[in-house]
Amino acid sequence: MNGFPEPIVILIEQFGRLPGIGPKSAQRLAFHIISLPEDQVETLIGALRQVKHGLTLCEQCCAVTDVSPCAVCGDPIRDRGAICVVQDTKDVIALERMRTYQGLYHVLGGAISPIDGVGPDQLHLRELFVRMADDHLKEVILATNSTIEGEATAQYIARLAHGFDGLAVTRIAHGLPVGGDLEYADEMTLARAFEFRRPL
Amino acid sequence: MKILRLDLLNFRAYEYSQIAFSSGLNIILGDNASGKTTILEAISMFAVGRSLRTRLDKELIRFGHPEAQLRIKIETLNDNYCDMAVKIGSKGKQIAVNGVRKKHMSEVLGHLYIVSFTPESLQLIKAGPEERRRFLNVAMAQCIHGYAEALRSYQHILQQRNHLLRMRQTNSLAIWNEQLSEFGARIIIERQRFSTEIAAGARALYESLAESSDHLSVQYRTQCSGASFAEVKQSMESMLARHLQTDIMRGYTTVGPHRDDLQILIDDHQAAKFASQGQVRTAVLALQLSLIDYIEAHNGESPVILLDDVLSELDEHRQRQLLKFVDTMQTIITTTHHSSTGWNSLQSVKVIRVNHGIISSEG
Ligand SMILES: Nc1ncnc2c1ncn2[C@@H]1O[C@H](COP(=O)(O)OP(=O)(O)OP(=O)(O)O)[C@@H](O)[C@H]1O
Ligand SMILES: [Mg+2]
Ligand SMILES: [Zn+2]
Repeated sequence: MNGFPEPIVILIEQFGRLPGIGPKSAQRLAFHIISLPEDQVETLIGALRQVKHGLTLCEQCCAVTDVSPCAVCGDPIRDRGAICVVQDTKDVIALERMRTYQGLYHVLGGAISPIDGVGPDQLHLRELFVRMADDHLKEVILATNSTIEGEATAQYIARLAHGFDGLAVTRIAHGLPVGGDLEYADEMTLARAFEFRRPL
Repeated sequence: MKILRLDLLNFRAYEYSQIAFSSGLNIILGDNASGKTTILEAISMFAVGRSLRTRLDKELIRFGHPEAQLRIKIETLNDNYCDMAVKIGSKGKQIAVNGVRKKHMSEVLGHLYIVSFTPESLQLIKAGPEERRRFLNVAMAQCIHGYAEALRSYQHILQQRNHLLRMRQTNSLAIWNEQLSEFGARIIIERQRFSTEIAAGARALYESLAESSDHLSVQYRTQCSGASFAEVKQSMESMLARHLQTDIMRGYTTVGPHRDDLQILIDDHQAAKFASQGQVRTAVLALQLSLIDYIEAHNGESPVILLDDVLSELDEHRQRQLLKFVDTMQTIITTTHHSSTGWNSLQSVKVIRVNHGIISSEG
């Protein structure tokens, strides 16, 4: 990137640090910004500042929210007997789209991954264990991703949750996608779907 | 199964070359460092999913160029065709099978089967257990569906667990054991099954190649016991628990398929220690050739045979035996000189001359 004026180099570098953006895209984005009218750039800067300063973590479930407690935690109708544990706030939004789950959530903010320096202490686990001690709670549903790290995180929580009397720990089933053909499923998915079969 | 055509673009010493193969015997003829092995390396990429010479894709790209490309056209049974292409850049690979983009190199597996024999193949017996695990992994990845993925997941979990051990953070170690045992058991079961099956073939082949009554015995050795998947998994979990202190002390995981071995005995003696040069060569050849039967039985195709610079390693008798053995299959042989024996007596030989990355065919 020799030859570009310093401010452009810095901007390209910053874009390049974003997920899914390679050096070429970073350069394209940077030059796009340069070509924008000033007020549009100001709006963008404002939006960036707003997401950082206008957002906070829900004091109960640790989801990213603009008000704390968040809309789910603050809703008196929700069932306080169940907590669904997910990795990210976007998982909450995905599950809410399903419209059938009436319980609460807990957002970990990631999954345990030693290689990436993420251990139990880097996740919102302490907050979860405080909530588990609540007598109203009957079930913890582990809905971390079905990746190796998501599974290990579920294992970790399950082990500790078994120490709480009368608390059921469940893991969401991983299986075949609805509308998916059996023959196109990979072995792991098929094996899981078999393992978690149910009587009809 | 036949390879019809191979295109190489900025792949190692090749600027651009297209090679057409005959369905019988193909001889790649050229001086040292002319690019013969490179052709076999390119073919292996599609069968095994990676280069057998290097783990660093970057080394495959022609010096001074940003990316390399390979394309192969294969004819399978019943006149089906398969077209695979891979682009190797500094940031990774782009893969297509029959024009459909694939995410991972393991998705090319199962389209092309090869059995290869090279001077390095002798390491299979002479070197440590790692080489023998590699032999199993490379052979099994191409003909057992899902094996490569299981292996990759296993390695990934192992890395996570070893990282904790290295950092001496041992309290959340156990949460990796279940998954490690799950994939570990699957790998062990598959390797046991595979080894048992090729052992019988290898033994018969050894007897006929060596023309002796010595016998070759091949057996998978693992610390985990059990006959079923559930038993092996259970066994591995308890082995992990039992070796916890050792693991912590050493800073890495000491049990699992990544520590297993394929035991090779000639007349009940460990081949690595006691076999003669000739016995080693014959045993390795028998093992490699036993893969042919396995692939034919399980995958319903004859593999393509790749022989890198090995005719010179065998005496005339074995050369002829070997060529007769692979007679019905497409075979690609590299050599530095027009052989006086062996192949020039055979019919339908295609000679492909290589000269510093430039191809010219004859005959
Ligand atoms: N990335 C690369 N770019 C350009 N040239 C390369 C690259 N990698 C290897 N080479 C060259 O390719 C040549 C080796 O090719 P190869 O191993 O196929 O030769 P060979 O014909 O099998 O030789 P031998 O008979 O000695 O085994 C060497 O001259 C090497 O310098
Ligand atoms: Mg060579
Ligand atoms: Zn909340």
